[in-house]
Amino acid sequence: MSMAFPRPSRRTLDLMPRFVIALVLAVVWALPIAWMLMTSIKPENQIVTIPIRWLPEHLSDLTFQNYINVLAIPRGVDLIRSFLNSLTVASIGTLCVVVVDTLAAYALARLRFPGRDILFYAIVASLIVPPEILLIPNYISVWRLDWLNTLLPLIVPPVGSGFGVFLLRQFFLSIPSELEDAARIDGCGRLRILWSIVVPLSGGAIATLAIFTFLYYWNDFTWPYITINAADVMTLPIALIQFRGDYFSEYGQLMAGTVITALPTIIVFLVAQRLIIRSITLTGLKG
Amino acid sequence: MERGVTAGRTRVEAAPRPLLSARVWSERSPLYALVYLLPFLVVFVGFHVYPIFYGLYVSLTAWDLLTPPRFVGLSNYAALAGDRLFLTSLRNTALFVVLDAPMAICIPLGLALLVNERIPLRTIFRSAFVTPLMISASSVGVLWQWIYNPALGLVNYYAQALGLPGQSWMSQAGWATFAIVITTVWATSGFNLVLFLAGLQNIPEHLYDAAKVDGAGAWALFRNITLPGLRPTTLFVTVTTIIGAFRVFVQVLVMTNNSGGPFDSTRTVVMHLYQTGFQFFRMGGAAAVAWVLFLIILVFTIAQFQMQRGAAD
Repeated sequence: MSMAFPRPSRRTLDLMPRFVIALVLAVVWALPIAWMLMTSIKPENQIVTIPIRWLPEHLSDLTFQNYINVLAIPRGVDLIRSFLNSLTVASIGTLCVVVVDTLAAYALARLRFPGRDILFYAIVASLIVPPEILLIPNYISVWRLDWLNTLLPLIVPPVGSGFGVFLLRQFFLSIPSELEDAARIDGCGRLRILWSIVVPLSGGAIATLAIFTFLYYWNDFTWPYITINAADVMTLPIALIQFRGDYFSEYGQLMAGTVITALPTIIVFLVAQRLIIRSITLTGLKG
Repeated sequence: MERGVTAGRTRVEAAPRPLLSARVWSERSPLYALVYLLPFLVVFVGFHVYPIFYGLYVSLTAWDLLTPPRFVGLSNYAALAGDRLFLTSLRNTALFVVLDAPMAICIPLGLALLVNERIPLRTIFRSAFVTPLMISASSVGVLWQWIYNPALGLVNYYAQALGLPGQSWMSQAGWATFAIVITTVWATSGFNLVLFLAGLQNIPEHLYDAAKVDGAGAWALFRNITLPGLRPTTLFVTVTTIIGAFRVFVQVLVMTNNSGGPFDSTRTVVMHLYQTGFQFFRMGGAAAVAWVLFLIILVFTIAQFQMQRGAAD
């Protein structure tokens, strides 16, 4: 009890410089997003200042007027409509991917059927094909199906991606099959086993797939940019490009639109951060 | 055990002969797996397998979607070899890979080493580095256009505060490429950071303790323990980062207002593909560009695996 206050340990002192470097870099990394948010809540005349200012003259000048302007009285593209389109595509798409991939992965992991190995190799091979190879032929298919300027081309093709099937198959194989054998002896059907034994044991893998799929649908740009040019079916990322044309030099409103596009996925990340980071590790190193 | 169950069931089912349809859906039918596979198979084949072959065929045709396709053999590929714009886009893409890949690999490695230490606020720092990864490329592009604004932008303000000259970033050849690279590194570093962090966690602590007992310094620890321990991660990160860099498109499209400018200096291979296909509606030419890109990526990927194998021997 001789020490009046604790002294920093040797180890803490060693870590000090690293802490300072990390702090500076983290601030640098956060600046663009902070600048986007700050620009979006300042009145226009307080944005175009030389030199730049982070805060307006009076804090009471901070305003949501930019958001009200672009949402309530849109000049061109309707961001609320685009938001709903993005939500529709991402939620229906994610649901389809999870259900369809779970079924297919279960067949590949547990059922015996002719051509199973060939199908599995085809799925693995499809993963190394860059998506650019598919752009032209899939555009032609979608054009023939008369799906251009609908939400269908945005929702359907990713449902056939091999990524989720591969991920879930590997996971299902790691579940000991004794559990399922026992249920089968008790007379359970396969679908029942899948639903009440395999799926509950695979929560982590299915959640990984769901989150990646949702982010993919929400953020995808090139394919929607090619297949959609009618404003009423645009998703947010491509609507934002149209929007930029409408508000080219009104930076407050431009950034309000950018925030509206970016914020949903940032929120998903902040809420499900642990899961997302673990998922990147899981799929990145094993996929 | 399984065989016993099957045999038992056969005896039971033998008496009333089931209808054909009931048999197809029975678990013992060879077609049973189709129940599970059909939805996936239809979309997988329709949008992921068939288009590979169909795209290859399209690349051998001249086709504007208005008149029927005309088979032209390899002439789309031959035309690319003499297409000044394509060769420019190939050079630009190569420059982008050379600038982006080292930064997009080394910076996340450095950040991972920092955040891996037991420093205060490390999870918050990690979040700051990973958050940009979640934002759509179009938001990233629109945001950074504003940040690079020559008169009102953040970059020029801080550059001048540090005594550096301000630039009209996006309207000067060279600086525009550099600006896009910085944006890309900012947006994508989080992914490699997370992979490196996982790789670092897999290196056993006792290796470091043993080396420290032997008096190894920080650099020796990094050189002899960290780097070899990260080898599988580094290979994966290098391969995927270089593939990603070859495919650069959206940030260029957004940040240059769909121009690939100034003076085609940021026009990339995928941008050439996009314009050929969807602005000039030359489907055959665009499909050929896609296949050339695929072959380039394939060659680089195989080369990296070979080099890795060579280094390991």
